[in-house]
Amino acid sequence: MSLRPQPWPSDIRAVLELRPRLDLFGGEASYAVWLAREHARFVRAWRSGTRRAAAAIGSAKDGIDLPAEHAQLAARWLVVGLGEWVCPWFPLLLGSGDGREGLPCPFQALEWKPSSPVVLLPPTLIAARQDVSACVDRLLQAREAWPARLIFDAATVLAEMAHNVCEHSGSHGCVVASWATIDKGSGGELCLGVADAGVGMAATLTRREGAHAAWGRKLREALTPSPSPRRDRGAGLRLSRAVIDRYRGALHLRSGGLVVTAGAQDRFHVSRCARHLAAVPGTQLWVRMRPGADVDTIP
Amino acid sequence: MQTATYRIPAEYRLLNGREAGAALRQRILQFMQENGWDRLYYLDFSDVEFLDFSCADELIRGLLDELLAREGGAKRVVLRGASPPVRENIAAVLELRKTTCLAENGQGNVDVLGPLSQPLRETLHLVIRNGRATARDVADHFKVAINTASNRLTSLAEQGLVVRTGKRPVAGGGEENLFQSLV
Repeated sequence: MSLRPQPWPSDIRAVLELRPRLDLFGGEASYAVWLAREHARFVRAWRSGTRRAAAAIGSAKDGIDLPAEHAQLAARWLVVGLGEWVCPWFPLLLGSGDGREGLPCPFQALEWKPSSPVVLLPPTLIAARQDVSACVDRLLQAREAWPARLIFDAATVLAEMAHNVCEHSGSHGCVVASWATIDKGSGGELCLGVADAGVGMAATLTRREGAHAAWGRKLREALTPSPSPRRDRGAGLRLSRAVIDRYRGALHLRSGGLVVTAGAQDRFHVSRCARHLAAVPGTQLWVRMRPGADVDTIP
Repeated sequence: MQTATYRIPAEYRLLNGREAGAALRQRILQFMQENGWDRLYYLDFSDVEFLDFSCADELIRGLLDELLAREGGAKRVVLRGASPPVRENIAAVLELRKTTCLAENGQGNVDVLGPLSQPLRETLHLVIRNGRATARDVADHFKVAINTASNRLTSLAEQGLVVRTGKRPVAGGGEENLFQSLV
């Protein structure tokens, strides 16, 4: 079982070379406008189920043409983050210490610099179930060097989130996993990132629920560990939240104009993200899980 | 009771997603159909390295639902060989869905995964230990009223964890239900 050949290594390199003015769109306003227009067209096609010609990347999903930039955009998000968002993979891919000057990175303002994270799963394209299996396989290999139970549970969360991308985003996605020391004094934590540039949660829920859904509220219901009235769905997110809680972790998710944070002890917070970020397509989330003596131990 | 073992193929080493769970469930149901519904089936997870929640929901909970809906309504399935994390993921799904399943605990004993009250759990262990039991047996063993014992056995039978095999006459007239262990 192997990871899908990645179509974007050169794209990631291109992003990194833009260090002095690094942002999601590489500082190109025209690119952002073009992308927003393409994305709007894609969402309209997805909503109406329009069948179009084959996609530029891989095979068409549900027969709907995918904007060529979608997979790259998801990868970009995992590389550079979304401006004010803390993005644990940023130093991972840039290297630690050097080259941060002038970057719109939250770490830049910190006196303490996080140590170089270890890549457990490199940024990887997911388009189908086989890709998720390959990612799980790769992440499970980390059990030899890292807390085995934590890695297994992280793979469970990753699989659940990645399948949601494959089934509901209408697009491809990108996943990454790393071990990073984000808070000074902590023993390190496992970070998962799952990003797609698909139709977004609001559109997905609108189609599924049959009416315009307040997706923040719907997501809260989906993340509450009580039985779902539907027996054919609703286990994955609920139980993933319980796993994240067990590791004193948190889940951060952005889609549309909203940012959702779900943490331990039923902590659930919905806020609005910056206006210019509300137009960023798709859904992006990251998860932090900290090993605890009662659950697992650091080798 | 005759038994058969379905060893989950190595190609399902990494079980993830509802699609995989549904596909494997169909294979298992076909195996059961070919070998007879009256047998007790051991589902061997020895080759399964990973199982996520959605797949466990579709595979285990879906399978139990289908078996419970059949005539007789017994969950003639015992999980075997699951690693502790795989077993815990299955247990978490069963807790959420409020359903139960028998599973070997790796020490030669059979335990229950999923929500089951302590009195019912103890009653089930008694039935498994003795092979069969009546309400009188349970009442005598736990020093409870005959109605309480009867309710416990009926509840276990409704959950498909024991089977009601018939009735037998009791001294002084009347008859009592006989419950049999699946394992």
